[in-house]
This record gives sequence, structure tokens and C-alpha cells, in this order.
Amino acid sequence: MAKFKEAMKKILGRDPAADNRQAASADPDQLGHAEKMKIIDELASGLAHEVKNPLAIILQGVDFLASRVKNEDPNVAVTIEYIQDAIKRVDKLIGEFLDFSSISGLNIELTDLNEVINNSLLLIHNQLEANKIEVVKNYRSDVLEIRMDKNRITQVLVNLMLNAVQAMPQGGKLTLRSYIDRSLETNNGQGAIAVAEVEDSGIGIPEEDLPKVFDFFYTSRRSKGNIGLGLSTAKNIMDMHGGSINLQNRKDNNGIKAIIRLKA
Amino acid sequence: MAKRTILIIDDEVSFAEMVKLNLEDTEDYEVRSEYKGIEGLAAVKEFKPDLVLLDIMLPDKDGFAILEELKKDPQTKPIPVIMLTALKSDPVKFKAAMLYADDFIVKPVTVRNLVEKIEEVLDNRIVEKLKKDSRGIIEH
Repeated sequence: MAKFKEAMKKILGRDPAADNRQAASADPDQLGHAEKMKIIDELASGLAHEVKNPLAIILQGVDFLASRVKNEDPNVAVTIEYIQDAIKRVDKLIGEFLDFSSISGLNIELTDLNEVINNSLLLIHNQLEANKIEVVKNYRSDVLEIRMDKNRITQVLVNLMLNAVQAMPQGGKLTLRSYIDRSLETNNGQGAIAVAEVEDSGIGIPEEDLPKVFDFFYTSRRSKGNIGLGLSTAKNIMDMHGGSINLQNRKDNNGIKAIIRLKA
Repeated sequence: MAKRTILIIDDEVSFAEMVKLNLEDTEDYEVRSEYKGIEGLAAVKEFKPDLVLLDIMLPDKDGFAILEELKKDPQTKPIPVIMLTALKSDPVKFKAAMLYADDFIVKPVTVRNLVEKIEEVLDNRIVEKLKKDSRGIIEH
């Protein structure tokens, strides 16, 4: 029990007993949804860390033993396989739990999409100046109240903008657009989509590589030796919002257009 | 062919030692292990390995701070760094990518997958070096 408490302390970075005392004296209904989700997220990632480390040792150990044990008894090989499978199952379970807590952890609020685009631009202003990138803004004013986690969407946009900058090492033009796509809107106002586009004038991506760009650490010639900046992260965030992300070569073959879509 | 040199920095001593054992067992690598961030950072500068396997949650100096320092120092910048951690979340991976980690592996990992990833990163570095050396001569 002492070990568990210590682990919880390590996970939370504070004494859980103190939290319990505070919680007991407080009205549980007063705990906000976001706060509850934050605690679940902290617990999940902390617990996962504490479980994954010993799992990693076991897997490395079993791999080592498997390479050394040459036994004529076929049950030895089967037993090792069972252990390896069991490790994978536990790991998968933890992964699913983490994914769940992460999705639950979105902090959704009504947000001005144009403001989020501008804030993202501010975060990369050094890179824009250093690479002599001209920024062209083409924003519509009807994207004011979009439901999103603004920090996560900023992460997506920064990601896309940095990739665009990397694709223009000799300078170029970064075009940012926002608008509402009403092509699927129904009579009762449902189905409208808020769209943000990040377009560069750099090197495109070979068509055959486009399906791979959402893999973590995908590297292309666009990035000139640097690693891909987490397009997979961007995709996960958009999925969590029930939105989408899409990358396509421009029709004139002068760069890439990245498009993110959110329910308006 | 000369053995590739690898430095693993991980405070889970038994994990670091198991990885060392398994990689050296392939007879392709010479591995050194460090269990603390500050000592690990000093070891990279002294040992100049071909590749670093770096944990994130370390007791004295976290893996991100080490990564940042390595990528800022011209002497250590070219050394590829693979983050090897139990932390699995998109923001963590995103941060590693922003700090120019060369790759990211989530524990637990099989020896086979670890070796594949190490070779992939080392091969990429060789290709990049060749490209850099031949810049202006060969068009890519």
C-alpha cells in the first residue's frame, strides 16, 4: 500500500491523501468536467508510465532468453511466445486506456478560428522572418464561434505552418485562408463546416508519399534532412474533434495545400 | 565492418542493461549505458556515439532538456537521437519532434523493432551526409 501511495504521489506530483481530504470537504458536484478529465488524464499517463517500464524490461528479457534457449522441447518456444503475446496484450490495453483519456481530455469552447490562426502565426514568427516568408491572409469573418480546443488546434496549425516553412528554404509565400463551407448544410443550418487552409509555395510531396505523411516521423525531401513535425499528431487531434485534415499538392504543382475542417 | 557505438541514457537500470545486452548480442554494436541525465549528457560529449537512445523522465535532468542541449551544440548536433520512453502521448511526441529528435520509440519494444529503428535512423544519417558532402555536385 505504501508503494502504491508513493507511486500515486510520483504520478500526480503531489500527495493524493491531501487531495482526498480536500475532496472530502468539497462538494463533488463542484468539480468541473475539465478538472475531472485532467485528473483522469494525469492518472492514466502516470499509471501507463509506471506499468510500461517494467513491461519493457520483461520484453527485452524474454527476447534475450528466446535468443539463448535452444531446447528440443517445443513447449519452451511456445511458452516464450505466450509471454510475448501477453506483454503485447497488456501494452495494447494500456494504449487504449490512454487514447480514451486523451480524447476525453479535450477542452472544448466556442472560439474565433481567425484568432487561433493569428496566434499560431505569432508562435512561428522567428521562423517566418529567418526564412523570408511572405504571409498572405485571406480570412472570412463568419468563423467566429467554432467549437474546438483552441490549444490543440493551435498545435495543428503550428505544425502545418512549420512544415510549410521547411518546404520553402529559399523563401516563399505562405497563404492562410478561413471560410465556412456550406455545401453540405441542411435547411435547419446543420452540416456547415469551418475550414482553415495553410498553403505554401515550396516543394510538393510525391503523390505516392501522400498516404504516409500522417505517420509519426515521416520524413520527406521537403524537410531537407529534418524529421516530419508530427502530422500524425495533427491528424489525431482533428479526429478527436470529429474533424478532418487533408494534404494535397497544389494544382499548379507549386507547393502543398493543407486543409483542416471542423464542424461549424 | 566496425561496430556502431550506442549510448543509452535511462534511469531504469535493468532496462538499460537488458538493451545493452541484447544489442551487443547482435555483435553489431558497442553499447554504453548511463542512468542519470547530467552524466548521460557528459558521456555523449566524451564518448561521441554513433547514436543516442534517450529516455525522457530522468531524475536529475529530463530527456527534453538533454535533447535540446545536444541539438544546440555543434559538436553533438549531428549525433542522431532516438527518444525511447514509456510516455505515449501526442504532445510528448510533438515536443520531441519540435526539438529535432530523430525518432521516437514507445516502450515496451522488441529487440527486432529496436534494431530496425536504429538501422533506419543511422542509414538516414548516412544518406543525408552523402547529400551534404555532394551538395552542388549532384542534383537531388
